[in-house]
Amino acid sequence: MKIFWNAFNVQRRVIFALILRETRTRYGKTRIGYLWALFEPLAHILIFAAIFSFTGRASPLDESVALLVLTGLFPYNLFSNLSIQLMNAVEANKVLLSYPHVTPFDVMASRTILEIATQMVVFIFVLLILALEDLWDMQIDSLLNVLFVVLVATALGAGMGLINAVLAFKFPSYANIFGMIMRPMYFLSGIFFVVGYMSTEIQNIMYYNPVAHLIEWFRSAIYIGYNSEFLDKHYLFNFTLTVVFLGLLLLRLSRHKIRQSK
Amino acid sequence: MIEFKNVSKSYALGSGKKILLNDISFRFQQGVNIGILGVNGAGKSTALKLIAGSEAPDKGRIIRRGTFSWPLGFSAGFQGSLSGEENLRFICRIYAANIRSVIRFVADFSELGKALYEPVSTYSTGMRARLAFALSMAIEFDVYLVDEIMGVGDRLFQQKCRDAFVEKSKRSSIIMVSHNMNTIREYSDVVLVLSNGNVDIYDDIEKAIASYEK
Repeated sequence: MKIFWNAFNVQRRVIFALILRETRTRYGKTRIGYLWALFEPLAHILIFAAIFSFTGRASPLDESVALLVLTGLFPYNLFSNLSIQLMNAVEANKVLLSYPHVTPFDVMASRTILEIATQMVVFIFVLLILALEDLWDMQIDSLLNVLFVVLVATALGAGMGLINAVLAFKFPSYANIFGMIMRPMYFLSGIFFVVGYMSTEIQNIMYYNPVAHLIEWFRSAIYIGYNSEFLDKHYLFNFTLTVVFLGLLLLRLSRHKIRQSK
Repeated sequence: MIEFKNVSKSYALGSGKKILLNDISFRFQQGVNIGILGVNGAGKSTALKLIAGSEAPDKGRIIRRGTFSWPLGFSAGFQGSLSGEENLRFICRIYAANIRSVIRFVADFSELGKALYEPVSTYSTGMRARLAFALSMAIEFDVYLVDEIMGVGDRLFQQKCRDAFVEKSKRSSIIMVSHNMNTIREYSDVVLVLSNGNVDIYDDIEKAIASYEK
């Protein structure tokens, strides 16, 4: 029992140290450092919200196009950033893996925690801006469901990130291939439109994209009175569990190889 | 205490496989200082990493009792983009050491001065080694694992390292890899000679050196 407690304490310390270190290194040596990490997704959301508002596009869900963009980009960014951040985690932390205490899993865990925290802060910040600008009526349908989506999006993104990390380690050109796959995903996930209101043919194609389900679920949780008919939680759960299981398995199988590569 | 139970380790090398350790078993009690000898590529550094636990054996078990340092070498695990001081903070957090007292000790011992607050990527090899050495002396371990790092810096600094090590060896022991026979003579009680996947253990250091130099 004591051994497990010790191991747990070491892991807690290592992950905490890695998170702190990451906030120092990710955005270089500038004094504001980590603020850049917050600024980037913030700008991403605000710019798109502004473009769609000014071009006079209407949201099919309520008057606020900005809220539509936010509710689409938040789950998408959480998933996509995690899958890419974890893919690059080994390379960025290679030096530190020479410490016996630091395992590839710790490196992955610390990046995951930091990414969730970053995206959550940005999301809440944008929500507050929208509330101040009267673009959000300060009501959501179900907080529980919102948290659920965050959890599933994290699991899906982290699981995908683990798979990516191992594949990128084995085949260095994989990172480029994944980037190519992700580019159309940006338009095929229903960020800027509502999949639930699309034609059946389009829905049938988009059905296989788990991120489209994530976004639909998120919007159902935020908007009062919107309940997506498209959403298939069963499919999303199965997909997510498979990805997480596969990711953890691949990491477990290759953790020694990852460590001894220099 | 360190124990190897039927440990095997090999590396994939192009087409074939290089066997570094072939079914090796030994056991040493706490307090025994161990020197490791072997030609380049015999697997000395790998053996040290196995002892530290930063690499895993292909087969067999490694049992440690007490706290072990990471392998202290020239390629010490410092992040180049961070300053020496920031690197210290990270390592202190991992090993639950008091950050302030470690930084004070390292600043004093390493004689790096202002360079301690510059990115490690700007350091010379000697400066890195001094940082690594000072840091390891600042954190208490039962066993210090040393990879070729003894004898860095000028004569004065070497003397300082020696004094620090003598002080440490009252409570801790050392496992070291070195090409320098004098260093091996000075610090080891037992010598392991690595060759072709085998390990020979010598209590008599002169005999070990003789067999290695043959």
